[in-house]
Amino acid sequence: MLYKLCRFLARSDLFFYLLLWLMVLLIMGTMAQEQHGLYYAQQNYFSVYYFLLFNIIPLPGTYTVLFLMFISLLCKLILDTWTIKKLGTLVTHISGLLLLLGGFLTAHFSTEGYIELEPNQPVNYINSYNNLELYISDKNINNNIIINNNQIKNNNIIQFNNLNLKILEICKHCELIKYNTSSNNYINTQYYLKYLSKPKDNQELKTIIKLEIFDNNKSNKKIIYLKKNESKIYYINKTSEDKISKNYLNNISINLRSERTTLPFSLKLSSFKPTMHPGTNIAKTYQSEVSLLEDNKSIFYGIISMNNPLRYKGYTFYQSSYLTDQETNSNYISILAAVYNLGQNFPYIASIILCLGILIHLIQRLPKLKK
Amino acid sequence: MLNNKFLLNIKYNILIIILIFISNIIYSNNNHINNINLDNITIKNIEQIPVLHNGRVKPIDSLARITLKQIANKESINNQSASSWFINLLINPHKDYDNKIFYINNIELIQKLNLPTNYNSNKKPYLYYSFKQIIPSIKKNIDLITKLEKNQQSLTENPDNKNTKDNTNYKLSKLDKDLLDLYYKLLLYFDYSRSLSLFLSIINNNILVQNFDLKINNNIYNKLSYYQLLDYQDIINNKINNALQISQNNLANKTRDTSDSINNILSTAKILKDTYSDKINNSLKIIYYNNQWLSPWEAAEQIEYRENKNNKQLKYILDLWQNFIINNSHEALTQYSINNYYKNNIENKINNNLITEIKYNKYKYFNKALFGYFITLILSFILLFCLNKKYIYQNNKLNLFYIINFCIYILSTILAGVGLISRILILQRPPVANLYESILFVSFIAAILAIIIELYINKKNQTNIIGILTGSVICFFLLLIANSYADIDDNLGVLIAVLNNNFWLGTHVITITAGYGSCLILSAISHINLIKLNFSKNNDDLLNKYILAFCLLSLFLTMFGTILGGIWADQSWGRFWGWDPKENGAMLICLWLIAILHGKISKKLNTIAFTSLSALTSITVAIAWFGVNLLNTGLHSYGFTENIANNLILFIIFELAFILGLWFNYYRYNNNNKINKTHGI
Repeated sequence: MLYKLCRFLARSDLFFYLLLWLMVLLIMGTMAQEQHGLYYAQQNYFSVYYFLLFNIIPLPGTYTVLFLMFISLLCKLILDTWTIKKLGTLVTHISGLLLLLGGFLTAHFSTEGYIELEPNQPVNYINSYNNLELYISDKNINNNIIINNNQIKNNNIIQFNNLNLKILEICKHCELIKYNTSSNNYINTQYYLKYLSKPKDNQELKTIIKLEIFDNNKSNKKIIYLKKNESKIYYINKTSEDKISKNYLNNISINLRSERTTLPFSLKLSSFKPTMHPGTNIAKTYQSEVSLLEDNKSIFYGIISMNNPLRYKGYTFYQSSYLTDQETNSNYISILAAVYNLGQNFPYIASIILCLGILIHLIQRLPKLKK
Repeated sequence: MLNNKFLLNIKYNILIIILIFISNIIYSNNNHINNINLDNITIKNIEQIPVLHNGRVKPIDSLARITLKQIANKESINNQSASSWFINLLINPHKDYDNKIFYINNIELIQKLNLPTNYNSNKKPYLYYSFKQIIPSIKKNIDLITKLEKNQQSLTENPDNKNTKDNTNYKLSKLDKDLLDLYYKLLLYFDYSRSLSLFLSIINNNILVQNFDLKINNNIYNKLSYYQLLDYQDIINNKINNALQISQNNLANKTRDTSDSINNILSTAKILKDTYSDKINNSLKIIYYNNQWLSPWEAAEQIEYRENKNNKQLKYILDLWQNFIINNSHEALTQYSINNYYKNNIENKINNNLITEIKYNKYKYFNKALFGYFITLILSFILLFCLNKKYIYQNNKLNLFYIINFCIYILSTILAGVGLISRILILQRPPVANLYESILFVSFIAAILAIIIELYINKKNQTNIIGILTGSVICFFLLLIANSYADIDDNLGVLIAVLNNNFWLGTHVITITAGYGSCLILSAISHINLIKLNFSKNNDDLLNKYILAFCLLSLFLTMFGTILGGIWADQSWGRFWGWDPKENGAMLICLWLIAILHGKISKKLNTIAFTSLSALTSITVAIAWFGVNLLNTGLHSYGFTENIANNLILFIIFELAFILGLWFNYYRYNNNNKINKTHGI
């Protein structure tokens, strides 16, 4: 029975149809990317086991196809007779297997994000590209709480000290519009959320959430807005009668920020230098002078530049881009992409084996072709 | 189309101020016009002089061609070479303001600007206008232009922000774009025309001697330039200040009888002031000094204010230019000394590259190769259809016609190779960084693979010119496509930071483009086999083997190239695979090739099906290569998207119709045969 299943999975026509379906997925995903951006395409076609066509018909996603291809290759390798004659094919198949295995490890056991380094300020966390977290802290008693991405949902109630925070609205990409109403001699400041069309790049999302804050006896209700990566809190009804309710927020800071992953070490930027093509504003290359600190000791001091990353403890840091301080125009903030990836070495090994495999295959074929 | 890159050097807020000065300078008293006639030798010497432009040191010849291509949409005008026109523009700007060189290919815009048209005659409408003709109507429309400019800036900054409240933010129409484009061209032109104004003779000697009491030793020249007057700047400033004071006093006292001397001084001051308005001009970075490139005005500023006042080297090169412009062609020594200065002061490598670049510009290797391929294409078809196989082999010797054909083909390939090597030398990097270059490179790879096929088939004594035929078809069409991209603008540009890595460009991009070349050959042979299968009954085993071999070779190159690309991405962006459109495109080719190979191995596909699907590889290549450039996302897309879409769709439809048509025709024919056989006919 198992043997029969293996035989079925190892058939090359099954592999042929899997390839065709993968091509269809690729084209669909790439077209979707043009319309909705990369993140959408990944969430709907590439990084999924199944997806719903027209929201009804479930179809296998890229992960399923790749998984089946992996099993098929494995069965093929087990069932094949291992002879010198088939060496080229065998080696090529092994490399394919390794490539898929590497892809699996990367898909499930890697984290990626970015680090913003300001000069001389050590940073020991990675910011997520897509996920957000809600960070609430009380300066007086040094207490804080982090609400991670999965818990940021509508109507979720968060308790902190003697406060309750209820999430009323989450807008992925919005603008906060301010307007004033005057009644009974008070000028009330109000806000409303204006929904914008989503940008293609997920990092450009301007997420805003609307929170309701009340204490345990539900007496002091307060509605606030928070913008992504901005520490300011936007109040509604910021009038004099609200003084009492404002007091209990005085020592509390609430921050909607990119989800952070803590590193076992920290990085400090010493200097940043962009080099331009002479006489233009087109960057030729840029580099950061960085020191790596662990337990207050400097482990590494050197340069991260384009195509020249820093690797340490499974983490890799790449020079990605930079920001300029708009006021001084000289202080640079260096942005590094950070990746932790178990499957990183697989493509390297696989590519060498693949080359060998196809070369052996070609050489074995040549005498036949000559005839 | 004017590339934004060219505008980086021009600061937007200054533009309008420039426009105000333009009219001052054009219509000011014309008695300070130089009249220099340059001979050919002088132009040849000057066009070799290096200049820093768009981040790269290039000869003036290249800059002239790029500029003329932008303005007039061609590389020579009125029987004048680009460099001859450009050097004349620099030295005799006023003469050139009447030169009809601005190309406007939009009747609406011509009407909007009230420019003359000759619609009545049967000839083409007037398309070329002079600077002086256009400027007055541009001045009338300056409010509109500033509005459009702001609009475009806000559109480029946040393209998704379609603000409904603000009616001023609308998308630019074609007319608006063309108007803005013309405006930028005018500014570019004016900028260059004033870039040597430092050296142009402006002030009469008599005035200087009589009114400014200058003791000018050298009386050979009738007029002096701003640069020459820098030596006397203290005296001149004093005189002008005095004259201003006197004229103000006169105004206050309401006495009108200012002396001629004061009037002369004031009018001289005005000329000086107008000329000095060029000090922001830094478009022509031609003065090389102390490892930096300066425009003449920047250099003059260094001499005027900084500690470099007595800098001999900087003064020396400026003096050389001044001498050249005054003495012009007759004193050959002067020009040679300018050339010598650059030769002695610039690295040898750059000097050699300048010569290579001038040759590259002049000989247009790719155009010649294109012509050669066109001839071989026609000759090969004649050989294939009109001549019998017997004619190719006569008495066991190759036909002369065939040998000539093969020689032309090889010569074209050598020319294309020389062109590619020139580009490598000029740009100091592998020639595969943009779409234009990748087309050139793919055609070269395909040409070489085709030669290998041809030689190999010859060895087997089975000449059937398949190699030359496939090679010339592919190279002809690719170079034709490349030609349309070459016209757009400066195709020898610098690289953005991520791509600026010769090792990875040399490995990943070359492997993958070689893969494209191999895929195209595969597709072309499959086309031929498909035709053969349809129209001659015997099955050509050799061709079938070639198809399989090229399928494997293409798979090897594209697969390895894609993985190398992944490794590059892993090295510089931190991920092996990111589902970027270009990556998906490359993977599409790999998957396609793996799929048809597995179909062939599992015997799911018979000969005709395998051949047809191999022929369809061209479509996957077109999609991966050109198609992904249509998508505006992704890290790799290297521009040039206009008009690709229609051609691509046409190509795909044509290929599908051709291949599927032949495939079904083959089935119908075979089925008929089977029926006939069963009926015993």
